[in-house]
Amino acid sequence: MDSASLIIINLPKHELDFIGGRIDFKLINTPIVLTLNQADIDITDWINQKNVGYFIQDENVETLDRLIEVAKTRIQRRTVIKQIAEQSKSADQVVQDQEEQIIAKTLDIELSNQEQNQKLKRERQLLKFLKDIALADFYDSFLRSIKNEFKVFHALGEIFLVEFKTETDLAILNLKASDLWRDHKVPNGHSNALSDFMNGKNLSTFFANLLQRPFGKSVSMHLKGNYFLIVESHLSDIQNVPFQEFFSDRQEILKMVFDKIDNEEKMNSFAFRWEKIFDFIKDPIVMIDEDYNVIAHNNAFDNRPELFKCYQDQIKKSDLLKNGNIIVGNSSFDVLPFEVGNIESGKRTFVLTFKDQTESNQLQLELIQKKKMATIGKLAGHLSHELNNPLTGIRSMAQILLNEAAPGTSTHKDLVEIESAAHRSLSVIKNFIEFSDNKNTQIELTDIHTLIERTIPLMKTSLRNHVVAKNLTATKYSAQVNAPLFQQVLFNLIKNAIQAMSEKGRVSIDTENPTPTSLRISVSDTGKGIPAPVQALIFQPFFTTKEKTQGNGLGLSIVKSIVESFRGKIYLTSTEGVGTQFHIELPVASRNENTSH
Amino acid sequence: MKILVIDDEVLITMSLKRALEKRGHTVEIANGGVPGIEAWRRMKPDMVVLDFMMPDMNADQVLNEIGDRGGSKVVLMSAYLGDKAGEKPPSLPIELFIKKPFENIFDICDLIEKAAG
Repeated sequence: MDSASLIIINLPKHELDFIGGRIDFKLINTPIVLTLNQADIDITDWINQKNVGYFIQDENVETLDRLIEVAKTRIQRRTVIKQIAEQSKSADQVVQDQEEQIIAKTLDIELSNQEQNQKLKRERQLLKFLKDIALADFYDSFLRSIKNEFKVFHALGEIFLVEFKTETDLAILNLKASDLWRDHKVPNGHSNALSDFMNGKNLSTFFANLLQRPFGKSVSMHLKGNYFLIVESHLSDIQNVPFQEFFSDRQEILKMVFDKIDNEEKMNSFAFRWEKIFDFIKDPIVMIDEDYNVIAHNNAFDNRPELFKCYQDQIKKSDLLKNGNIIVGNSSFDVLPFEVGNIESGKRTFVLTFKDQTESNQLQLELIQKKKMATIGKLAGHLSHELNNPLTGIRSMAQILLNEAAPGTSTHKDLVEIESAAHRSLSVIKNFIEFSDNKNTQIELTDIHTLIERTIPLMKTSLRNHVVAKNLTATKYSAQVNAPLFQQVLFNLIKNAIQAMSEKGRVSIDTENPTPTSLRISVSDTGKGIPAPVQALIFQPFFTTKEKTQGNGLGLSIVKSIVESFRGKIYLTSTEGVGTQFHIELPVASRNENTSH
Repeated sequence: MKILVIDDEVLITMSLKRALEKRGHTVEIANGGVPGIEAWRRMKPDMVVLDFMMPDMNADQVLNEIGDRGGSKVVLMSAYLGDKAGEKPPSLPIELFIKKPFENIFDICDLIEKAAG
């Protein structure tokens, strides 16, 4: 009967009773239709008690069929409703479950929101701390920021920065004591102090021993290298926990900022050292950009502001990177530029070094001059020896012929001239050899006026076509010279004066004291004058404008050397078409001063 | 006295010849080491006035070449000896050394005569 979808029972009442006594309808799941052909049966009990879906009382088969259909439909509908009800019940369950989950989740979210807020707050605090402490630019301001941040914990003691310089030497910065690092020795009994610091162990004992006072709990942080941050804490164990958290929250920031400060300090001292070195350099050095804006410079540059201006004026048109030379006043500077890349505002940047060449130029010139003179000396030495022989022959022969010639005759006179010329030539050579040997030129106090008076007659022959004017007005006219050499100087100058005048002219020899300590001897001619370009070259060895027969050009350079060897100087003034004046200035020697008073 | 003057400088030999002949000496001259040695051997002079530095040879070489001087006395003249030019002094014995340049030719003649004895 289980497989049937509908059971139709059509029985008389007594039989129904019989069946009802034997079948437990409740156990039958299939809907049952009872069809009754007698209307007198009371089936209320059945309906109530039995699992019976419907009763039909009709004898007509057609009607019965229809009724059965209706019953079937009703029963089906009831089943559907029942199913729906069941389904709805389980749906309710689902909804309820979901609601519970939603509530749990909402609770969760609310909780995490709270957490988030707390976390955010913490982050904000850290950020604020970072901002504060990032402003710290020195170790002490770093400590001050930490102190400020930690003041929410009331029972904190001192805060220390510790640097281990060696295993046994350390420096401590403590805001309470001062703003300065103080050196300390590791106290006895702390042989592994550095590793204790690294591990944060035994630090309270360490500080108690070091500071000779009771020390609270120590909270430490390894900042960097040999640097440590130590906070003394008097918090109770329970209070200490949030502080530890607070402290370790800030660990990264502290390390970062400390690193920055430490680097800056190192950079500062590094920069300071370089600046000192820079300032110590005597040559002006400046860093500029391509628009000539000064970025940095050393002290020496401060003292010579005109250099840069001069450089700017001269170099602007050409390349900044070329080596230049500028002349400021009496000094000559080499400017050595090099490019250092774009240091400021993307502009090309250069470093200029101004090297004072005045002295080195001077030394260079002097060196060249000395070498030249040495070469000339050697050469002249050989020449002199070569000349000595024929001159000796000439002089000897002149002496012999003089001996034979009758005095008073013109031959005799000519022989006198020959003998004296040979004699003079030999003494020029002798002096020259002695001079170039730089020995045996004995410098002694010499009366220059007397020397002049003695020299002019020796040149009588050469001067015979000219007027000679002497104007010896100096009142102090003694100088430390070698008389024969100085006579050669006068000889040379007078000879030059004569040679400068193609026709009859005047040779003047003047002396005066331009200052009380100097004597000036001037030899002037009324010749054609010396053009300026020639003036610059005239004292150089082998320079000459004369014909071969007149001179070999050694004259004035030797004259200059001789004058300078007497600590004097020689210079000339000349006007073309008017004449030339050679001036020698010598330091006045003391005897004159004594005699003049 | 027979005197031989050896010097590459003609004017010097001429002067000495003239001055010494004036004093009654027989003077021959040679303007170089080689002709000097030749003349020395030929004339066998009592006195040789010899220049130290000559283009063909120096006094040292001349004296070495001569070897046996045959009684000739030697007066040496030089501009170089004794100063910086630094030629070594002749290793062979000489009567007298005269430094050039001379101040006075007649004084030199006196010195030569004196050296001859």
